[in-house]
Order: sequence, then C-alpha cells, then structure tokens
Amino acid sequence: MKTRLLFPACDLDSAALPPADPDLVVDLELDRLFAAMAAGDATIEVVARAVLPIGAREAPDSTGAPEPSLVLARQALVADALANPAVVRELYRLASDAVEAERRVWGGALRNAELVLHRSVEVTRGLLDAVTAMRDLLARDRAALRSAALLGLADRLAADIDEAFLRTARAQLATLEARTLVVTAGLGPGNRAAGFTLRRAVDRRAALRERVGLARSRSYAVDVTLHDQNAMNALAELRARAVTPVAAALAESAAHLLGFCRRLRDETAFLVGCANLAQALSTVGVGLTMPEVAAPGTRGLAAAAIVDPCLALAIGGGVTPNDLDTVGCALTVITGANGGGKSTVLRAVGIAQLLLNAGMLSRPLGCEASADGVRVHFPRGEGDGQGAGPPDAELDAR
Amino acid sequence: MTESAPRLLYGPGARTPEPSLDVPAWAVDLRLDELAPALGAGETGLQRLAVLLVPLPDAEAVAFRAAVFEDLDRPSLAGAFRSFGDVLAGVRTTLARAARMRHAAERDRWVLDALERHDAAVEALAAALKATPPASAALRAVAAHLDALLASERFRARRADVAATRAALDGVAFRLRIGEQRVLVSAPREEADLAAEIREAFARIRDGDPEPLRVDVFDTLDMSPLDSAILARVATLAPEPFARLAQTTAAHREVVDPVLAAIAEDAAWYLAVLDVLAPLREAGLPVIPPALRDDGALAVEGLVDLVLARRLVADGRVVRASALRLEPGERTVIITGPGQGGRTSLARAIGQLHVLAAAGCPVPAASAAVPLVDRVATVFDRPERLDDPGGRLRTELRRIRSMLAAAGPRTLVIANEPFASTTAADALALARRLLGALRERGARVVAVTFLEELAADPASVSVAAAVDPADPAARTFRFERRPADGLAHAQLLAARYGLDGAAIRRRVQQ
Repeated sequence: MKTRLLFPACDLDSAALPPADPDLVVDLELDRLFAAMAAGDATIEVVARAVLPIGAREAPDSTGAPEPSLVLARQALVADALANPAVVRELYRLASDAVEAERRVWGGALRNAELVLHRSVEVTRGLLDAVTAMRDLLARDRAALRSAALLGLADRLAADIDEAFLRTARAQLATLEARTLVVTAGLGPGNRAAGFTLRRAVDRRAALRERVGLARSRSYAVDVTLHDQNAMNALAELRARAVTPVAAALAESAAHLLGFCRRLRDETAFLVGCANLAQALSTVGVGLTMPEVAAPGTRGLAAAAIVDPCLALAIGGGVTPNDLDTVGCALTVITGANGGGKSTVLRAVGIAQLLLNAGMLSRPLGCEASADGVRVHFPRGEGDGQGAGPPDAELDAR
Repeated sequence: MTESAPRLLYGPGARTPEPSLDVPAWAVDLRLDELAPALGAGETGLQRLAVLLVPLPDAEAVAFRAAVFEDLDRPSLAGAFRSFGDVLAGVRTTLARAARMRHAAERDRWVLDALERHDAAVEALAAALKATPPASAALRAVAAHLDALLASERFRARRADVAATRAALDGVAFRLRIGEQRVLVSAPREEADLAAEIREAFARIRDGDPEPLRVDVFDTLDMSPLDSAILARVATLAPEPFARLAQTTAAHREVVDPVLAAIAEDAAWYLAVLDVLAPLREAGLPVIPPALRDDGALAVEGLVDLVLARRLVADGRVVRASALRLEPGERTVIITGPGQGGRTSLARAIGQLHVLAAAGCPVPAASAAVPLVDRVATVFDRPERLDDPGGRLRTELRRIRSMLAAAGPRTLVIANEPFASTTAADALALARRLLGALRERGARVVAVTFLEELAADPASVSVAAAVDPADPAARTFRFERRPADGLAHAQLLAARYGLDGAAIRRRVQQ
C-alpha cells in the first residue's frame, strides 16, 4: 500500500535521506524554522530537516529543478493540511501510535516460533485497527479534502482496507490463535515429521466429529499426559516447528502494514510541521500566502512585504517588510549601510525560495518566483560568524 | 571381483607390514612423535605416524608412493579424496548413531541416507578421477576399480533401489491435528494452506521487500518419544513405503565398501603427510621428493628439521637450513660446535631426512639425494631413572649392545653426546670403540659430540659450526665440512665474561 503524499513516484523513507546541507542551515538560520515546525516533536524535526531542502520532486532522489506542476500539487496538499489540521494531526497520531505499539510488543529478540506467531497476531491486529481508523477518518472528512494526494490516499485505504479484507484477515488471525493446530507434513531426516504446512480446517462439524473419533477417515491418536513434562515439552516443540512457516508469513504481512504506517507517519509529520509553522508565524504577526510559481526560466522574482520568518520567530515579530521586484534580472546586488538589513533581505529571499520549492506557504503576498535550487555563499571569516551578523545587529537596535 | 583390491601405500604384491602404535624410542629422539597430533586426532595420528616410521624395502616401493604423493599434491585430486573421506566419516557416524536407535523406521531411514550419501560419494570420486586422470599406478588402479564398481550390476541395482525407496518415502504425506494433549494422525485432506491464504489476503498491502523476520526454531535431529509415536502412526497409515524401507536396508547391510574404505584411509595418510608439510611450504621453505642413491653417497641442500621448522614457522620465526655432502664410503659424520648452536637439530634433520625418504615422502629440503636405510637407531642421552639399577652409563651401554646386534649396512645411527655421563677420557675411548664397531657393520653414523678428537679420525667426516669472522663467539647455526678447530665456543664465552684460565689465575693471585 502506497502513501504517496509528498512525492508522486515514491514513498518517504526519511531514514534514507541525506541530511540538509549544513551551510544552507547555518547561513539561512533554518534551525529556528525547523524548531517551529517540530514544536517539540523529534520525529517532525527529523523529517522537516530531511524533506524541506529537497523541494517538491518526483522522488527525493530526483535531480534537476523542481517542476512547477509538482510544486503546485505539493502546494495543494499543504493547503489541504492547513485547512484541515485536525485530519493530518489525527493521521499522524494514528500512524505514530501504531509504530510505537509495534515496538512495545516486539521488545527483545524472539526465538520461539509460537511466541513469534502470537506476537505477530497481536501486532497485525493492532495495525489493522490503525489502518481502519485512518480509512474511517479520511472517509468522514473526505468532503473537506481538496488535494489529489490526500484524496488518493483516502481512495487507496477505502479500496484496500475494505470490509471483506478485514473479515478475512481477522478470521485468519483468529484461526492462528486457536489452541488446536491442523498441519500436514512429510518425512524429513530420520523419518521425523518435517515440511509443515498449517491448514485451515474445513468446518466445525468435521472438526467436532474428528475430536470425538467419528471422522470419516481413519485417524490414530497419540496422547500426552499433563504430568509427563518431557512429553509436554516435546509437544510444545512440535507445535513450534509446525507453526514456523505460517509465523514467517504473518510476520511478513505485519511488516508490510508496519512499513505503511511508518511511511505515513513520516509524510504526515511534514504536513503537521507545516501546520505548526503557520501557527507559530501567525502568533508573531507574520501572515502567509501561497506563492505563485513563475514559468521555468523566469529570472528574478517579485515580492511584496517579504520578511525573514526565522528572524520574526527569533524576535517575536515586528520585523520590517521589504518590497522587491527583480523580474527579468539575472543578478541582483543589494547595497546599503552596515547593519541596515541587507543580509536579512537576502535571507528572506532565500527562505522564500526554499519554502516555495517545498510547496509551502511563505511570506509575502504576491511573492512570485520560479522554482530552482537555493545556493548560499555567506562570509565565514573571523568576526563574521554566527551571532555577529545583521540579525543580531537588528536585535541590538531594538 | 577377481582382481586384487587396489592399495595406495604398498605396491601390488608387497607385504603389508603391521605397524605398531608404540612410538619407538629412536623416533622420540628424532622428535617425530610430535608429528602424531598433526597427522590425525588420537589413535589415527599414531597409526599414520607408524606407517611413516616403517622404512620401505626398496626403491620401487619408494617410487610407488612418491608417484601417489605427486598425484595427491594436485588440488583437484586432493579435494576429491578429502571429500570422499569426509563423506565416509560422516556415513560411519550416521551408522553408529543409527545402530543405537530403537525404532526401526527411524534407524532404517538413517541407514538409507547413509547408503545414498556413500554411493553418491563413490560416483563423485569416480568422476573426479575421470576429470583429472591420475599418473600414479596406485591411483590409476583406484580409478579402474571405481569404474568396474559403477558398471557392476550390484551397484546399479542398489543405487536404483535406494532411489526408489527414497522417492516412496518422500511421497508420504500425513495430517496432524495437534491439540493440547493429543495429536491425531490421519491422511491429508482437502484443506487450505493457511500461510498461502495469509500471503494472498495481505498481497494488496504488500510494498517492497521488508526485512524478513528471523524465526529461530529449536530443532534437533533426535526424535522425541512423541515424534517416534507419530512416526509409528504414520507407518500404520501408509505401510508400503516403510516396508520397502525395511527391505532396502536389509538387502544392503554392507553400506561402506571395505575396499573403498581402505583406499580412503590410505589416501588420508598421504593427505595428512602433505598437511604436515604444508606450513613449511606456505612459509616459502622448499619441500621436494628426494632422489634415492644406492652408492651410499648423500647430497642435501636447504635441509631443515621438520618438527622444529613447523614450530618456528608457527611463531613467525626464521628457519635456518643446512647442507651436507657425503661421498660414497663416507659413513661417519662427527658434528662439533658450540652448545645450543643447532648441532642436535642438524643431526635430527639428517635422521628425519632418511626416515621420510625411506617412507617415500617428500622432504623439507631444496635438493636431496639420499641412500635408502632400513633401520634407524639413536644413542641419545636420557635422564637417569630410579628404576635403573646400574646407573646411566650402564643403561646406555646395554642399549648400545642391543642396537649393535641389529645394526647392518643399511642402518642409520644418530648419536647425541654419547657417553656424556662419564669422564672425557673414558667417553672418548668408548665412543671410538662404538664408532669402530658400527663401521665394521657398515652402518652410517651421525654423531654430535664435544669430543673434537673423534672428528680428527681420518675415517670420519668432520662437520663444525661455521664461525662468524666478525664475532667469533656468535652462534651462526650454519654448519660446514671442516676440521673441528678446537676453538671451543665455551672458551670464547668464558673469555667474554672474564672467566678464562688466565683471568681466573690473575684473580686468584691478587
């Protein structure tokens, strides 16, 4: 089952992503941005750091400039998330809880196949409940959703996690929990029973007839007394050997469900981060808008009332906005007095471009830029390092 | 089979000696006993050592073995015989375990597996000998024997019988209903495979290949009484394959062909000897098949003490090689030189050289032409023992008397400090008489001694430690044919530490 929220060609594996370019993070002071997105949630921070710099692309490892259509699709998704924050937060919570519950159930390494089986049953049941809740959530709020990504997820969940599937899966889990196992086997080394295949007994009546010795085909019984500890151990060992193949099959299915929940957790983490950021900026008085994406190849950008959101977050608002129109210019040179906010404008432009690339909201109104990478070159000399730059100068001036 | 069974250790028609497991005293003196653990574990090692210690009667027998060594030095043939030996050993272990089993259906299945593995190994060995045709008469005979065996009606019938029985057993399928305290055994029914159903049901949520969960199953080969009881019920349910199993195993009681077992054992001896020599080769020391000389001359270069070299190589230390050349008629070698200078090691190396050559084995030397000896004796100083009523000298003389009685022209005597327990004058007199008596009998002698007068005898070849001109007191571990020069190492050492005669006299006079 695919999540496909953030990238149209593949699901997010946040663990496999390279870390954000450290120069970019330092020069644009992105740490404050990531912290605002995370709002104290470590998972969101990790995902935000990995996903934001990549921008909206086919897949995280795609090369070249982000395509305007992909940016627009991502913008639609982010807009959906901002319009329905409760839905994405609930999706994120459901996925996180399912992943967390799985970790609690498995704990340490398991050696016994029957134990593996019982844990797998428990885990699978929990995961099925989680994906069912996700399905129901998206079905309930479907009318409010606008983005293709979230609607697609709602459709996939509705189609794959249908009642027939849930009935079958739950019935299978119940069969696996039965104390009586029916297996077929052949002869292995030393003619010991081997090659076990767990069977689903046909019907209850036949099972009952068999138990009372009235089955149609002949059967021979081996009885084990409760007091004979060795024989009970041998019986437990036989059961373990008999369920090994099915335990592996179920563990595999559980792993698929778990993988879906983990990927969904990471993708919704980004959306929750967007919602957190919008909230944080609105409390410091920075309004946000969805920027327009200019045609590829457009030079320069046009922005009205652009601000550096990280600076706004740092000083709690009251930053001076700037208007900018450099459309058609290949190169823009900013000059002015020292401590006058040149670098702040530069950062504001850089962050606006990054947010635009990631399909996120950015200040200011009417910002318009073509999507392309952001590269930074800030001075790194002695006395020019962190903490001595214009943001601090602006802080001092207040 | 009408032809005589092929053998690898002794040529056709040769008498097979009965090697004794007791390591003779001379072999202990030459430290050859230390090779036993390297040749094989426990008694096997002693048996293989015993074969090594029995000299072959003639050049033909030596050439017979040397050819086998050359064949088995090829990795393909060595590998083929090694895996054949491994399979036979595994088959024997399986059969020994099976013999202790109480349930026929279980025991017979292990026997059937042993039959299957044995016959497959025979075919594999035959194929390997086809792929790499051996050059030696012995291994060519083995190849011919295997071809005849594989073509024989008996072998083919047995192979087919075993395969059919195996197929019948593989076809046995049964159903177990495992409850809390009862297992019901019955024929399989039309019931769905639950694992397959689960995979099918969950196929829609599959995505990629998640890391598979490792499920370890506690599994032994031993059957529990429950397993045995289930097997008995299965046999009641499907009696034919089990009846067939009983017939098949009863029809082929002799699982391992005794001729092939003997061949495998012989091949294992060659491989064990090559394994003993392997560390030297890996360290870059030469190991070569020696040439035999029947004129009594000896020429060896780059000779090392095999046992010492194995130890030095294992510790990553330098091994020093020696050379020696004796003309025909030169039968007595007197080795002199400083103590701890490698004299005894050289004597041992010469002794080992003759033993290995007489057993048809490769020798640790760069080149070697060696006379064939049929008896090796040693005169080594042994610690005094309380149960020796006559004291050390008397015991030594007794041993020498019995040694002299058996000595002949093809006897090699290695003597290490003979008569060290008596005065120098007596020792010299006794040693001269001993050497004279051995010379009369035509025996070859290598003697290590401090008595340089022995080396002055014109009938003896004197070998002495080389002296480093830069530091005459240093030990070189190098030996050369030259007169013993009286420059006893002890004197030099004493002078170095101010303990020579003149120095002591000066101190006493002060």
